[in-house]
Amino acid sequence: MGKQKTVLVIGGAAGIGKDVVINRANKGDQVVFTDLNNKAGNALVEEIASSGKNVTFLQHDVSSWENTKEIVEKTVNKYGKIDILIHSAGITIQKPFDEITYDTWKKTFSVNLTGLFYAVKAIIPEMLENKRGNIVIIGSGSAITGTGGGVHYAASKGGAFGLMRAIAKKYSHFGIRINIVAPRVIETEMLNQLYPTESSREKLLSKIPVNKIGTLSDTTNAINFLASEESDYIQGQVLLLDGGRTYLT
Amino acid sequence: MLQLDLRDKVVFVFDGEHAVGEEIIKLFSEAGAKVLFLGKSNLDEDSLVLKYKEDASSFEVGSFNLKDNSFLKVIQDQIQVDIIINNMEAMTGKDVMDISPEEWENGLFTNLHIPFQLLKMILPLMKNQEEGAVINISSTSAIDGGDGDVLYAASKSALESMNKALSRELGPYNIRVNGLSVGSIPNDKDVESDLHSIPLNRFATPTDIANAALFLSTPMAGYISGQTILVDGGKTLL
Repeated sequence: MGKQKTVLVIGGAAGIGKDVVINRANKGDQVVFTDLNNKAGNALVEEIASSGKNVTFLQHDVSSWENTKEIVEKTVNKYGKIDILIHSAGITIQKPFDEITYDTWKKTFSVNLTGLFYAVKAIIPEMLENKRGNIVIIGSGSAITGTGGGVHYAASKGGAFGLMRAIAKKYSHFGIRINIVAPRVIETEMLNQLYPTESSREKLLSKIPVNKIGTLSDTTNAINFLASEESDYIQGQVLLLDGGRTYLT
Repeated sequence: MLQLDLRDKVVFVFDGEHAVGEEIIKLFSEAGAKVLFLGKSNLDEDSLVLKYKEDASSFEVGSFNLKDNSFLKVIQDQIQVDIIINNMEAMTGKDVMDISPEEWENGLFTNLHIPFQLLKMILPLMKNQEEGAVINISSTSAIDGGDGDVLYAASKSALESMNKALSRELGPYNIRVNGLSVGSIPNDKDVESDLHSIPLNRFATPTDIANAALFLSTPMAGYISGQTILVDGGKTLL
């Protein structure tokens, strides 16, 4: 999928982001990834180094504008440009509406939506300078279905849709592409907690037409496609990654 | 037969100071509802004013600072709310690069955080009543990006997802949650030539929006929940 790229992965030390970091490093891209979790970030750097590849890790509080600006500056200083931003940072504090406190509501938005706003606000000037750029946001099927994570989570992830479309509207003419990959259930540690027994897994599988829970490879493949030239005519879209579950059942 | 009789119903309108909010207040009052409305004060940008309207009269209940949430205490005194209409609306009109973190946060506060707090306060009442309708008014900007205002588009799409999640949680209490996605209401910048993109060949009026809100509030929409209805003259999807 093209030549060596400079890729910034925000929220790259675990789950979907981590898989993308490993994948892009193995492809030979120049990868900078960030995460709030310093320990997990450094561990991933070592893991990748053991296979002979190098990536850069920067600790990052996505809810801080100053910090986000600094992350983009450091990445540009190191590699001269950023071709691709993959935004994978997010939190889920699953609760029914009655139990969502105002603090939980605001915290969820500060990470899931304000964090995304800061990242886009910081990176757009760089991409305008290059007259090219590609942003892929890891969204969630919750924004479409209203399930999983709670009202605050669904709303914060839904906010990403409008943000993405406003950016697409404004910057398509400047060579900047932006799209969302919206997974539903993906094999992660979190899924094991949500569906710990074999019977709960069976029940889940029965709701998914392709009879498979999504894998990290599925998400990484979708992200890489949207981040590539092969998808050059896809703009402002949400790619729902759900094995057919949302609309076929 | 139309069932637009809202006598004995109490409707709570957030942001009743804009043209759409005012039209909603008018129509719902005409349908017989008691209307409470909470809107931004014309005098002070940081204040909300809670007003109560019954029949043709209205009076101001008090002025509250937006930042200290003192208005929430007033809500606690209400004993019945059947319909909630949220039309809180802040926009920046700016490019993403020019929106300051403070402007963003203030916008989220108005568009999402205040409605969240109001819903937290009012919904227990509605759940006890085992009946109710919630309407969040969004914008076609959530679908097409509007004029590129990320704050506005993000806030409105967040509301649409909130509708879906809330409708799932509140369905068992016979509370329906829906949205209206509003198209272009003309302003100073709009010109006749913009009409070519609207199949119905006219801009939306506040009455168009208020009529749709009225429909969603009544038993006529009793099996509609978790939806966002486009009120845009056919523009967005055609």
